[in-house]
Amino acid sequence: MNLSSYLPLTETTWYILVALLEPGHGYYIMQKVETLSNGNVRIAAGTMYGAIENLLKQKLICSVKSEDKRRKVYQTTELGREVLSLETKRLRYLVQVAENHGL
Amino acid sequence: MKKYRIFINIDKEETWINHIIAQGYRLKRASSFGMYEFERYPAINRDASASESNTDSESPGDEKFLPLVRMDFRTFSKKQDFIDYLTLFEDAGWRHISGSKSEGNQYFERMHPDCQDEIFSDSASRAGRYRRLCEMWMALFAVYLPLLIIYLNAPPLAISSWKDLFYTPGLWESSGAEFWMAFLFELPFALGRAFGGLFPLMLLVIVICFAYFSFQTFYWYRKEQKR
Repeated sequence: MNLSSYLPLTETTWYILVALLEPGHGYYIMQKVETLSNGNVRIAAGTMYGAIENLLKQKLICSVKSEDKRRKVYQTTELGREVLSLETKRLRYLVQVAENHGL
Repeated sequence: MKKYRIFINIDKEETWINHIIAQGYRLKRASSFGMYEFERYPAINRDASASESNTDSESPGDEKFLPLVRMDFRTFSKKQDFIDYLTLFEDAGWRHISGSKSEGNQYFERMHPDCQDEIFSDSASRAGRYRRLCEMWMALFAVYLPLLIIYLNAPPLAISSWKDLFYTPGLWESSGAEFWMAFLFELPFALGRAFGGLFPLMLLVIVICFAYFSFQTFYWYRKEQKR
C-alpha cells in the first residue's frame, strides 16, 4: 500500500493521530486536540464520531481494550504512525521552502 | 405541549424545533412519526422569575440560556457502538432526548452554556447526515420496487364500470327488496375487490415517494458538501 495516498492529511486528522499516540476515548481526543492546537481546532461531537469511524476504516487507528464499558478507547496504529511521520516530513519541507524564500 | 409535524429536511426540522425553544420551551421528546412534546423552560414558575429578572437584568445567573436541539442521523448495528456514541455526546455536553439504535433520527439537547452550540464542526461531517439519510431512502426504494413489479405483473381487475365489481348474476336487472338484499350482501366483497385493485397503485405512489426522497436528500448532501 502506497503511504503517500493518505497525504495530505487534514488538520483535524493530523491532530487526532497525534492525540492518539497515547490511547484515549472520543471526548479525550476532543480535549487533547483543543489543547495541542492552542484552542484553534475544536472538534464537535458529531464530527468526532464520524472521524473516528473513518480512521478506523482506514486502519490509521484501532480500538484497544479498556475497563470503561461505556467508552471505546482508540490508539494510532503502526500504519497511522508511518503516515504521520511522512506527513510531518512533508510539512517540514514546506516550511523549509517558505523560509528559503524569506517568509 | 404536543405538536405534529413531518419533515424530510433535517435542517428545516432543527430550525423549527429551535424556533419553538426560543419561545421559552425545551424539547421533551420526539417520535419518528412526527410527534413532538415540548415543555416550559425553565419549568418552575417562569413568569415570576421573568418579572424578577426584569428589575436586575444584569445578574449573570439569569443569562438567557437556550436548551438548543441538534440532530444527527445515524443507525447502529451493535448496541455497544450506540452506547459509545451517546457517551461521547454526553461527555461533550449533549443530552440524548430521542432516537433509538436503529431508528436513525437522533435528537440532542445542549446541557450547559459552556458547551459548543453545534454538533458538527465541518461541512463534510454535517453533509454526512444527508448521505446516510439518502442511503436509507434508497434501501427502502430497493425493497419496495420488486414488490411493485410483482403486483403490476399480476392480471389486472377486468372491469369496465364499477358495476362489474358485483359478481351476482342478474343483480342489476332485479329491483326492490331482492336487489337490496343481494346488493348489501355483496357490498363488502365488492369494496374488497376495489381496494385490492388500488393496492398496486398505492405501492406505485410509495415507490415514487421513496425515489423522490432519495434524489432530494442526495441533492442536499451535495449542496452541504460544497459549502
